[in-house]
Order: sequence, then structure tokens, then C-alpha cells
Amino acid sequence: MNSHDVTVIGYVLIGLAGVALEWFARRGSGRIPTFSEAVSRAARTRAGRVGVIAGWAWLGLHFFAR
Amino acid sequence: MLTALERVLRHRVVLVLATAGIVDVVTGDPAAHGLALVAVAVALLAEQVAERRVEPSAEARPRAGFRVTTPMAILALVYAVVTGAFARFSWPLTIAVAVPGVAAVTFAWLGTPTTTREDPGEERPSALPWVVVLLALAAWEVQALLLQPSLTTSSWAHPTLSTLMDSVLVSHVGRSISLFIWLALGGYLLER
Repeated sequence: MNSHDVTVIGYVLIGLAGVALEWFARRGSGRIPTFSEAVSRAARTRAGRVGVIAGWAWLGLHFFAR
Repeated sequence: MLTALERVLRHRVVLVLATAGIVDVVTGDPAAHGLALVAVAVALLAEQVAERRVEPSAEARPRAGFRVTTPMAILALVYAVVTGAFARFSWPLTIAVAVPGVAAVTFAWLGTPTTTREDPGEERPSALPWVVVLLALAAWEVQALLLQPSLTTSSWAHPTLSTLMDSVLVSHVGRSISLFIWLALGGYLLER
């Protein structure tokens, strides 16, 4: 296993952590919000909503734009 | 009286956007990308400072809702297929991404009232676990970035997400699928 594989595995593990978190949240204990609820909460204010959408717009610029 | 830390945390969105924008420029992305984030941060900060000088209105304006409809989804699919034909980092693709990006930020700004009232009786689960996952992703991305030969030279041995996406975005199909996912994510976020 080389450093490339280790780096990719790191990304995969973090992704799986997100999936696991969503699974726990949807089981309904109520102690962890779903991803949707967490984003909704972040976007309650104008600064939060604009911040979230600006981050999304930046992703598009970063991957596609000059 | 607010402590210095509380004052800083009150502007956390501004801080995150400004930091991300500056890091983006330092790591060799086109300056316009990072500066766009800094510009949004400055505008939000200016508004927050101005807002403290005036009395908040008694009647908070309702928030503009957004709903992704089937025709919008079809339009997004066609848009992604057509604009995915443009070369990556070309001006046509830049415009194709900038137009929905600016439109969405404008909608979020104009469609959201400045004052949002919290219901004091309402208990919500902590979003901290999600913050931890996002911070872990950011930290992993930063360690890959720092292990590159330089901040502006990508490395296959220590790939950032951008480097990993290069092989996907090289083809028309890969760009179109990625553009559609990006547009769908934007619609999803605007709906929240």
C-alpha cells in the first residue's frame, strides 16, 4: 500500500463516517440531526444560507472555471 | 458584555468564507475564485455591522422558499449535457458555472430576511457530529495539500480531492455528470 492508497482510504473513511452518521440520525434517537436537518439549521440565517450557497458556487468554480 | 471570542464567533460564517478564500488564492487557484468568497464575506460583514446600528423591524419578512420541480431537473440535465461539452477551465464553461452560481447566491441573499427568530422553547439536536466530519475532511485535504511538492503543484502520491477529480473531469461524460450533480446539490441546498 503506497501513500496514494492511504490518502484515498482516508477520504473513503471520512465519507463512510458521514454515511454512518446519517444512518444513526435516521434511526430516530433524536440526538443526532440528519444531514438535511443540519444544513437547514445552518441556513436559518441570511449569513448561514448565503455562506452555504457561496461554498457550493465556489465548488463549481474550483472544478470547472478558469 | 460579549467576550472577544463571542464577538468573533458571531461572525463565524464571515471568518470561514474569508479564510477559505485566502487559502484558495494562496494554493494557486485562479484569484477570482478565492476573491469571490472574500467578497461575499466582506458584504456579509458590512451588512452585519450596519444591522447593529438600526432597530430590527418588528415584522420579520418571510423567507423565500425554493422547490426543485421536474421541469427544472430536466432543464438542469440538458444544461449539464450541453455545457459539459465545453473544455474544462475554458471561458464558456466558466460562464456556464458562474451564471447559476451568482443567481443562487443572489437568491439566497435577497430571499432570506436578516432577522431570524429562534424559538427559545425549541430543543434541537446538536449538529456538532456533522461539523466534526466536515472538519476531518478539511484536515485530510489540508494534509494532502501540504504533502504536495509545493502548494501549487499537485501530487498523485498525496492527492487532494481536486487531483482525484481530474481524471473524471477530463471527459465530456464525466464533466456532464459532475455538473448535473453540482446543480442538483445547489437545488438541494437552496431548498433547505
